[in-house]
Amino acid sequence: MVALFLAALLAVSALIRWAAPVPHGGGLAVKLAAYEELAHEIDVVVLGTSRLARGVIPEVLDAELAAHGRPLKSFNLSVLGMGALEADYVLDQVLALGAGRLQTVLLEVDSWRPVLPDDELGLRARDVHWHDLSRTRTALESLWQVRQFSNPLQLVELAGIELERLALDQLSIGRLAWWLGEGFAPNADPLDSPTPSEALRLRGHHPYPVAQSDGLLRQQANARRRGEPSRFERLLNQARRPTVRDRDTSTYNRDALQRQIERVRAVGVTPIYLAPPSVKSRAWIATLAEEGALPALLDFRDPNAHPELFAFERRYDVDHLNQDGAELFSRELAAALHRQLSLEEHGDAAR
Amino acid sequence: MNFVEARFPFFFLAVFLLHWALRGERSRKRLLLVASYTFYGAWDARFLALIVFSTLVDYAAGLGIADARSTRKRRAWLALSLCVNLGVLGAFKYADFFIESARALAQRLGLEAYGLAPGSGTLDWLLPVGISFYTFQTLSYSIDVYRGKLRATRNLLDLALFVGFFPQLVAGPIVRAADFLPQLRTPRRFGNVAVRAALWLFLIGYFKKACVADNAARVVDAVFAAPEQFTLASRALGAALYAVQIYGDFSGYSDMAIACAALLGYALPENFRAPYLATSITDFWRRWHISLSTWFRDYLYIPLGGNRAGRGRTARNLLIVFLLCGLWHGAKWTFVIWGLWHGLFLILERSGAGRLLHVLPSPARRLYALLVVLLGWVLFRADDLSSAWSLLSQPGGEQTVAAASAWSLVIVVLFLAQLGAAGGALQARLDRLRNERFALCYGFAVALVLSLISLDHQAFIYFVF
Repeated sequence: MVALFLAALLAVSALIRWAAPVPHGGGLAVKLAAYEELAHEIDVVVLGTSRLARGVIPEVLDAELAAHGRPLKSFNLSVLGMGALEADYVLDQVLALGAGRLQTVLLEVDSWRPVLPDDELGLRARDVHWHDLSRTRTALESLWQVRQFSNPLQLVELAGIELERLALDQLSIGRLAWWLGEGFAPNADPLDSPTPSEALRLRGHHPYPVAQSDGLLRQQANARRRGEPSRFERLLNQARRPTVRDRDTSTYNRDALQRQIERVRAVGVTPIYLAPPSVKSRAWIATLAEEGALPALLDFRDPNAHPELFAFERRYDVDHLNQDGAELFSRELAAALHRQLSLEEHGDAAR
Repeated sequence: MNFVEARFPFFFLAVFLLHWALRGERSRKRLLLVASYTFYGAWDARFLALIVFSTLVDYAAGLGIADARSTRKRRAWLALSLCVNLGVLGAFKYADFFIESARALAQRLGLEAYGLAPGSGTLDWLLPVGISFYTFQTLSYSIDVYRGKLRATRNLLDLALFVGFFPQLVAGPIVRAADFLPQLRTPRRFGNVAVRAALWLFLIGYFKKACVADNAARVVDAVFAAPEQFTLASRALGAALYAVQIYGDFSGYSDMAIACAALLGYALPENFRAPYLATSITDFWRRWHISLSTWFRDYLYIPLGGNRAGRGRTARNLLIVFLLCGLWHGAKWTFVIWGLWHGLFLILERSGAGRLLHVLPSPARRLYALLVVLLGWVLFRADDLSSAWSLLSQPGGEQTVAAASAWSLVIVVLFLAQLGAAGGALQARLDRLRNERFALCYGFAVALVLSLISLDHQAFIYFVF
């Protein structure tokens, strides 16, 4: 009886999985659809978190690359809150479309470690959809490598969540509902995701609705009144002086990174890793590059090397650039990308 | 924890298997109590203390009433139970509402100088899930013992399980001690459990909640968040879908609770009987949240005099009952007005208007009841009175939920599907199936239901009541 029940359950789930589309949420569906439409003319894809979704303007990036003699066209597929595991899934969607004109993917370097979900957001489609067997394995592998949890039960809880999501994905949870309701996009999206026309027009850039953050300005003014450094300034100082612990890469999942690099190269595309100008101390990225784990790194994390990207008037909030900052960053990124591509071309020629 | 969480099936399966594997009734009851406290504690273990406290107070009050020699002492014990239970409920649920309302009134009267100005001073306590439900259960126990309708139990385990039984602990149905305690005194036999019917009922409840209510919420939330942006037709669609949402949400929970209890060998009362087919508001309250409406009838309306002391007193009693019924749902003026709205129509139906209603054909009476209920739900759902007013009265905006029309149609189809699935004909056909075929059908149905759930799901609406 139980076997028959499970057989029917799995068979019908598999059928639905085959027939219904993947429920991409949080703006990803819109961006992927826009990318699919433009894929045949795109040379560079940018993939990462909100730091890149907000911070890279394809139009500016392309204009600057053209000024350097590289007429390339880019698309920003970064999504707010997209960690390395989800980005890895999106990368596969890009590669599945075939390389075409695609030459380069710019990938934000991020930890592969799964984090506890935000209870307030509930279970979202986008938390489930990338949980196929291989990526769930990567998630569990990454958890096992971290192991340094203050509470060992947290490791069990996180592993349980990953396995639960794998099961939910295998059972095609929510797929028919997503498919039937695709025509309706309520405008109350907590992540103010772009509309389809915006995604096409801006090629995935996700600007803030307003140029300046009142919250950050207020925090800064309050801190000045109290004569104390603001949170932004405190984090900035820490980023300027990373500790040995900040540089530790022992918990980083190098195997997952290596698998990713090989997949990208296998279709003839160049993976280039990117560290955006962030005040969150991520000194381990530099160590990772020094150890040779990253094939190429465009690093903008150092406030001493890129002071203008950390200037208060170019920030929207503690960890994100505003529109001015995004324009400057896109220009600097274009210059760095041009240099990197030139290096690779010379390398190829020498070989 | 709640019934639609992924961990619940594993939790319930463990409890179910252990429960029927244990031999002694006492061991089974202990297991159920531990499971119930685990179920509740998974949300917030701190508030378990409140349930235990409430149980102990009513245990003592029940025995006190039973052993008291004088009426005065019996009354004192009852008063203790009422004060403690209603005091806890009042402190956690209503204190801030009354403080804020008093402040708002003071501001209007210009009494800020007397320390009643808006500002800090509210308690800001987290509302314990299900507090209104278990408080009404414990009150029914003390009152029934006081009235001599029920013998006080000397078995603390039985009373603790009556108060904390996990299937109905957080969102009902509100069980009477007179219905539940006798079940705890007789041994449960697995052979008496209608497993197929319970499994089917659970799936229907899950479908109503996760597929119908949560999917409807996508449209409802968008419309109620900014009603002024939507056309009048879209607002009407939003309001109608809220009626679908709240029915699916609450009756779905009740179905799942009744099914879980049945699988453990216990019977819980029916809570919904096709409420949107009611032919009057009086009829609606015989079909909607039956365990609450009968509670108010037996413990408030009838003691107030019911309809035995003339029209004026009946109207007064109805208004009191429905004002408190509104307040039971939450500490907000919108709930109070919603309660009074229903009370008003009940009074009208008992006056001459009721006779007029009886002359109308049945579809017209159903339409009248549905319209009154729908307008009531607008008050119920709105964040405040001005939002409700703007949804009902302001000129329409330009935004439509036309794109959602197809989706709304799907929700309506799902809503009708659950009515069909719950119908007797399908039930009878399922009963006739061989076990193997039932297992296959159930596997097919579970897969279909899982694929139709709304992933960006909502919490149960009635958890916060």
